[in-house]
Amino acid sequence: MKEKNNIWGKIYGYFMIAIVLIISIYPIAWVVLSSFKQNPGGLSLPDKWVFDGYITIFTQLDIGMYFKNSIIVTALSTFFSVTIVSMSAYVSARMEFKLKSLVTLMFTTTLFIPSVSISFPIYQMLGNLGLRDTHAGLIFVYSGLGIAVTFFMLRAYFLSIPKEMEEAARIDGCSYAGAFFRIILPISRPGIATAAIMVALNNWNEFYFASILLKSKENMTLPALLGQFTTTYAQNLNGMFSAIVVSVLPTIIVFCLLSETFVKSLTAGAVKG
Amino acid sequence: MNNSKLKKLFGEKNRFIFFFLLPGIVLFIAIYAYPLVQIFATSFTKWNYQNFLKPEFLGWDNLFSNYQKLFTVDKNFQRALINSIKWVVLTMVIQIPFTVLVALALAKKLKGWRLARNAFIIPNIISTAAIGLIFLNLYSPSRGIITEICEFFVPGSQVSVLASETSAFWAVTFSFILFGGSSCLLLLTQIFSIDPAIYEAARIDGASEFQLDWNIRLPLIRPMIGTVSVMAANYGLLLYNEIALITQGGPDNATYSLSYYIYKTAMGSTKLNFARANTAGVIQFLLGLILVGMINKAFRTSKAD
Repeated sequence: MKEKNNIWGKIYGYFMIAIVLIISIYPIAWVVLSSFKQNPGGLSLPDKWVFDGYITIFTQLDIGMYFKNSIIVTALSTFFSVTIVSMSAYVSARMEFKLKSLVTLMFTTTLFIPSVSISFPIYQMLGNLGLRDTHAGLIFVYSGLGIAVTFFMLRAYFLSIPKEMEEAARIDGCSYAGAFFRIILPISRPGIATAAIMVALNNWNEFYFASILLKSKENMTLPALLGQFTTTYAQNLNGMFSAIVVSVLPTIIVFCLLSETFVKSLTAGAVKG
Repeated sequence: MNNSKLKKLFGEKNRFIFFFLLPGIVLFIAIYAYPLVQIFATSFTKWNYQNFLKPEFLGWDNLFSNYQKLFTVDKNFQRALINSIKWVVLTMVIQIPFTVLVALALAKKLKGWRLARNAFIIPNIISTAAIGLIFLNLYSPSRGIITEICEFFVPGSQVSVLASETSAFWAVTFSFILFGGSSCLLLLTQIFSIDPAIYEAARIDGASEFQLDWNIRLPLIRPMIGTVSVMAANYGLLLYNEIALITQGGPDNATYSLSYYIYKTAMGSTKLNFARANTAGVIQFLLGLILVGMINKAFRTSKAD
């Protein structure tokens, strides 16, 4: 009886594993195979492997430029976001002051404000500031997206550090800011890294604001470029498939190398809604 | 002496608090508070492409005229609202049960479970722009696979997935609904944190694996199912990228979502109507709050957590 139970359980387990592998990997594998085909698409394997698409995107499309844009925007917005939020989170974790609960409430409410619902005021504001089609504008918006999750992650991390660390520094004559930058930040590196990975991943992939704010080609990030393929470049199929592959490959490679770190980041990012 | 020292310390502390909170507060006001107040305020105005610089207050008599028009006249909004609600419901009845089943299966730690877990995460960590574009191609009659598969079963069927309203809706749905990798990860973490002693006791009593899943694991991960349900429902409510890339709201505006409606109405057409887009934003925001409240209530366990 027990044995039988086990067999069915195993069959079910392997069946689910197979399904998950197929639905997760097939779309990407299909794009990779298609990018090497003379006539991309369809179910068959390539009969002749062509590399035209890859040559095109590096020579004519200049995909390196989009990579550079994505890297600049992601790096700066992640830096600003994590720095600003960690400062607030530290104050909220350690300091006693009158309006403390208001600060926590402020970050909590951002969790419930969908960025799309308020996207027109943001779009208009950036227009007024002359930042609409610029990296600075996009970095500004990205710095503010998702701050609630980062706030709670970092706050929890700061709370887990013993108070004696700063007290010792204070007795030695360190200022509050000095204690934060010299003592707390260095010890919190693992927690900050976990938060930064999640923020960077979101900003690297962000499509909505990238597509509504960036209009000129030389400013576009990779997701914004991919959005263009629905209309403009659709004639060059090899180019399009190769561009998809090249734009998702870095994320997949980094994930394969650091999967346990990613898993930790993604798990820590769950904030009760 | 002591007093002045205290005062000085107090001063430094307050200055520190102020300067450390300032950037966060500025960001909050610029990116959240001001835009939120603006969408609420302008939802009571007449504000479109004709009077871009000067929104006009509708007056107390017609205060809710934008809301009224959305629900009575604006066919695109009504479609968008119905679709968005459908997508929320579908995440609840397809994505969440599927993800829970996967998590329970992977938790048995059969060979390959870790590979499957990691593979399942990949569609969640690559850009939805890429996913959207991939599915656009998979659905394409000339280079996709759906048409080819249908051709195999029914020669000459010439299916074009994105051409009909119903199939286009499902095409958008299946570009995201099965991808619950991050949620699955959270559920797995929760399952692994269950005390093994609980299983031992149940096993001694002769419980089968299925009974363990149904009577022990499922109730114990219930709060986490609530958490991932909130995230999934929100995703359904805010759906935009897949639509922008796969159908662009078509055919015949049949696959509009609230997000796509807001974009089109405020930024993506010729006869822009900012007040109406912001009103839709208010409705979307309120729907989000209601959803979170409902799901939290449904998944709350007797113990407060």
